[in-house]
Amino acid sequence: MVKGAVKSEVLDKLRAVINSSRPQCAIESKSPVVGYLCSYTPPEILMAAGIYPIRLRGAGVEDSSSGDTYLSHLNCSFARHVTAAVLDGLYDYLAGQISVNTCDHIRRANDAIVAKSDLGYHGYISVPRSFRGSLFPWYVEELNALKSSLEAHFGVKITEDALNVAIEKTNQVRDRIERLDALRRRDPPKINGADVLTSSVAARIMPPEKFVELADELIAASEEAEPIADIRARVILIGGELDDPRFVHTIEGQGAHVAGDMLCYGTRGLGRKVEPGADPIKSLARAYLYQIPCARMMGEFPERYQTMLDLYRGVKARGIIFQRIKFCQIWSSEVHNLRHRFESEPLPMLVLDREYGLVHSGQIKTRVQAFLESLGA
Amino acid sequence: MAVLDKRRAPEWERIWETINAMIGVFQADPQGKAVTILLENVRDYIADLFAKIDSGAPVVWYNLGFNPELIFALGGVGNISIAECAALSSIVGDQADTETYIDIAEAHGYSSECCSADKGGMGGVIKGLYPDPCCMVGINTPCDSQVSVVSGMAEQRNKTPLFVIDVPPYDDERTFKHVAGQLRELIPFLERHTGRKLDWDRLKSVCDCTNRTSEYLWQWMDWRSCAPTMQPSKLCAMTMVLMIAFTGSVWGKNIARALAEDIRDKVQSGVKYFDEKVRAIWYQDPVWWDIQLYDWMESELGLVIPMDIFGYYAAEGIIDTSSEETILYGLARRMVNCHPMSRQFRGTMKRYIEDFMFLHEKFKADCGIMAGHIACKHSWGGIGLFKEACKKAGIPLLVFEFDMFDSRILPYKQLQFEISRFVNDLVLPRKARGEMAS
Repeated sequence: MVKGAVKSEVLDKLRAVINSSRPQCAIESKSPVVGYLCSYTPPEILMAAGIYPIRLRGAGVEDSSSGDTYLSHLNCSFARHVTAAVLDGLYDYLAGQISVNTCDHIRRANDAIVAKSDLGYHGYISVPRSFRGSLFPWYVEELNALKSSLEAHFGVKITEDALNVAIEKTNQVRDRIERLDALRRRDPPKINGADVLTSSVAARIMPPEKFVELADELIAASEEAEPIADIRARVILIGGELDDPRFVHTIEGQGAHVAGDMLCYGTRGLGRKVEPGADPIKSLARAYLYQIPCARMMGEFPERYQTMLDLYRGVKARGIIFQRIKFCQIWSSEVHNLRHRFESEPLPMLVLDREYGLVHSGQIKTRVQAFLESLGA
Repeated sequence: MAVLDKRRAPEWERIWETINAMIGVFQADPQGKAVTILLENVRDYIADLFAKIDSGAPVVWYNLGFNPELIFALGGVGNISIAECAALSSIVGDQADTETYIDIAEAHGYSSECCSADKGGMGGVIKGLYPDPCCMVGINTPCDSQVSVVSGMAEQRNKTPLFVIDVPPYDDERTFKHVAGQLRELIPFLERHTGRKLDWDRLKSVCDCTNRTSEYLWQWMDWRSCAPTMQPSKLCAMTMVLMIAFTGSVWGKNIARALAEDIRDKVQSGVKYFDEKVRAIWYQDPVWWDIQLYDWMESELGLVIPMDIFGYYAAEGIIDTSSEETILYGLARRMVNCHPMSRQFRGTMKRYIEDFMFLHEKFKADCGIMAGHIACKHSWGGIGLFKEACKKAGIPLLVFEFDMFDSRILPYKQLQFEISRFVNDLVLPRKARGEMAS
């Protein structure tokens, strides 16, 4: 176990949720369960329809061959694992799925899932690739179209009241993740980065009420725990898809402390708190479109960079670890862009390419150790 | 060799020198009329670009999925697709230069897994081969690599304004109108940063030129669909080049006209230049780093490519020039639904597969060659569905990995081996047994 990890039953419960290819909480749900593939999909709309939303992953998929049949070895292993999970029946409890034009890999995973799975419902959202205000109405239209499509397929009415209730519930989830994030930002920290990622991944899988209950326990246990000692260096973890706390665990096992993240399944992808109100779809659209931008958003690197700098300074980090799944193209100019900025404002950075589902702990350990040494830690 | 009597970057001088040398060679070749006119117009475009640069005219950068009509309509503004130097070096310059640009981009942290056109573009930008832009246009078509290169381009010139065009993955009126609306927004952006006023009458003339180009391309496609094909395979990918740099210009119209008239004359003369045994739809990217491969395929294997995905120009490209709205709608529709690759890659696999089946039938092909440019994640991501569709239709399909601008990924000999084995061991025997889909 990593130093300072909270030894509590609650973490075991959260880990059980995220490590399972078929989480009990979803399987036992009395509501229809619908999977979604991207952080630009507001699960609040599903919740307001009486649907259990679950973020699709490839957890527990050791063999992606059915995904590889339709995609290829030149595609992202996350997309291949998710496709395999759906086609192999690990998601046979789903009533449907919703995809987004996140990237080419996810688009093609969606093509394979639509063509080859027997899921009853397939939703789709085209999310603009720029923050320019004139594109906002398109996203609102897309969310309204999704709402109508869910209403038609599931025979429900999604009311403004129900949307506002869902927004409030999800804001509570965000609040708990923020509090956990604050605990790991402390110096010395009260919780490690791996456990925060475990929590934020679980937040995408569990019903919000259940997650909030467990998160409150975890926050209380962490507050009472001894601070994490013997940290060699505080780092931040950035980049693309990462839903595997084992990867963070490996980094922290070398003495680093992941004091902050900007990850899709971490704190970045949960988005900002949503303002409930008279037009909840518009509120959701505003919060989700203008979240800290994923690299799929064009021309928004400066905002992402500034957010990263603020995080880096805010958590008193000494280094940056950038990770990316091999073959991911939308994140592929990020290292170039960061290095370009670092020419005038040097910051230490370690770049790690990875495959989904594999931790390669030996290689990662060596590279993280070398990085920490280069920091003089 | 100096360009317009001035010394330029050696890479540009090599392109200039090679184009002029090639024009000399093809002018002497009775089969070389279309190639000669193509090269002459590329040369004229380069000369015009350098003349504008020398006069201090503003220059607009953009990426692969954008079409330059609006820039032409500003008058006196240079247009540069940032992949231009890498592409020209590969096709009509020194391939080693293209591979150097790729290496430069990768050395600066740009991922090796991105498209070599974009890596080459980034390398060219980093190397300083292009004049500073007054502004930039970034579009998310045809693929994620464009998203990435726009991000890199914007960072390299992070004081220069960028306008992003967002193209949804749908094929419907709402999408075309959405893109047209963004073109409407782009006009004041371009005017502000170039200091030029868009002249709607000039835009109408530019679009008339585009429409004539479209008509020539459709005529060209019809003539190329005749069996046997009478024009070299290596010319079929040129629509893509034309769309990126020249559409709406007299250079583009001249090239399209030359392509159409050249094959018409050849079909009417009935003189065959190669013995056609097998017809294949080349789906995906051409082997730009050595287009003589197509000559080898024709002479050694009797394999002809009557059409490829870069050459196919969908029959929905006429721009209605009766009003500002119809012009912008027409430009938008054409940019997302006719531009090779953007048409097939940005949506679902349904369009990709349907277009292949259409081309297979129209061009009376025997088989398909999926030349799998390793960075084309959208097509590799749909490879299973594509193979299934071909199998169901009884169409033999060769699939291999290579890189369209980087000769180091799949060497020439290996490429020849893959293609000759497919033709000689699979397609020809099946054809002889009468087992081909028709």
